[in-house]
Amino acid sequence: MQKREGLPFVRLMMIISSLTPLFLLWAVRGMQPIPDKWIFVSVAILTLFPNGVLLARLIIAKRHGDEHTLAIQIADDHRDHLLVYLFAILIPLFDANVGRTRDTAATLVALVLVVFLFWHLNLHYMNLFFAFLGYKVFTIQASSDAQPLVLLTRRNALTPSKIQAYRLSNTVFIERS
Amino acid sequence: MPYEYHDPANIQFGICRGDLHLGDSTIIPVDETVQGLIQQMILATRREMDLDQPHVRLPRYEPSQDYRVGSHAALPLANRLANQLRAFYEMENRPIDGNALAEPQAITAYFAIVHDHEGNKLVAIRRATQFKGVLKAHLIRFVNDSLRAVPDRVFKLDSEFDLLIVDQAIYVHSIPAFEHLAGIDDQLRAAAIENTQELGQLLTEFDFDGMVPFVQGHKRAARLVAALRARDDLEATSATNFRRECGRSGISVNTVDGKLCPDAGHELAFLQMLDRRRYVVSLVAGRRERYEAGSRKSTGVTDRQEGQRPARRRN
Repeated sequence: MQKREGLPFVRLMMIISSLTPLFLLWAVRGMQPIPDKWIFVSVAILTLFPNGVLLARLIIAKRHGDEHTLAIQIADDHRDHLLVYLFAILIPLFDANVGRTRDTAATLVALVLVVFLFWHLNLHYMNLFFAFLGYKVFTIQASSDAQPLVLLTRRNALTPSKIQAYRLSNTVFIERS
Repeated sequence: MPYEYHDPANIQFGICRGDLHLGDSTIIPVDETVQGLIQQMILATRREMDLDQPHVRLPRYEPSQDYRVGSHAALPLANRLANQLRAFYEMENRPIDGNALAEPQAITAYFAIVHDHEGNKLVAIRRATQFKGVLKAHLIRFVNDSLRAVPDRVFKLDSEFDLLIVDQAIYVHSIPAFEHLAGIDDQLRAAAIENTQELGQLLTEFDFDGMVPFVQGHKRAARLVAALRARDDLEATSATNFRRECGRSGISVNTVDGKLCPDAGHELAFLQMLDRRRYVVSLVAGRRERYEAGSRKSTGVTDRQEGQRPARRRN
């Protein structure tokens, strides 16, 4: 059977939420020829709405008992993914020329492609806000041939054990604190 | 620490497609109302089997037993017959899919996985025969004292599960469902040769080699052999006593190369005698009545002391 990731809207919002730092940098720098007021409004929407959805998803998961016991046998620390995200996505997009209409359009198209890739590769767990809140990203498996899951946790290391976690999407969980 | 039934930390609901061991199983997210219903089902199943009563122990499941409707049994999770259910129980981090009910015809069972706050796990499984029927028909429910047909697809939960797997044991609420879910017949057929040969190693005064083709071809015989294999008193069987009991019950046995074996046509009765399922009663003078015990229950064992003879009645 084909695996379904589920919760597509939440995943899209998580991806856009992960680009919040870029939006903030653009707002500070400005994007000619787009007027500043439109940039501020857009950035406010693109920042507040996706993060609001993410927060709502977490509240709904807690309220409805969408909690799972996850078995950890193999755990990989993916802190380096954030560095890749920072250097491969944020900085190049921020550095892109946006002085002319076509440059701006090209940058926005690149942004859409990044969103598509994040969606396609299930990289919606990349979120600097989680990092700011002290969460680390781990890939966990119950056995070597089991489906890998992403766990956001404040622990520095994971040992073989079972933990309680809320479901953010079908493959991304955040440990119950 | 045993599983704490009244202290669930989280409750997951899922469905299976195909056989339990070969098919795939998927978790479907459910809200707290469904979780509450599942918890009620688990408690009702436990109550039906009297597991909530102290000192109640269910009889051990025997594949050779004819169980009546409403019988319950238990089987250690480490038992060979529990292989499929053990693998299902031990599987962790199942995939999650909120759309898994999209193809209801393929669903063969539904299950719940519950963890208590100590990390103990309970798995409850129910065959989904009724569920499929409900999806095809319209479900009727009470609304304002009047019946109303619900045209939507409705998942109808039952009142109890067929079995609970918890604390290293399988507690069977429905024997036929358990045998289906555990694939008992397939397992016994696959293990028929091995089980029969192992009987020969345990009972050195008996010859089972000639019975292998018979056991392979007879489901009942395969069940008897598996039940015999699980007995812990088999090696103490007295060939002399066995021959005597066979004679009383009309089971024709022979000795080949110093080993006891059944005559053709008496193989099943031979195995039944070993499994204490053949007996003779003589309540009418001069008449012996022979019976076959499809279902039997031990009412006790008396060991005769060495040198002691049965008491004789004196006038």
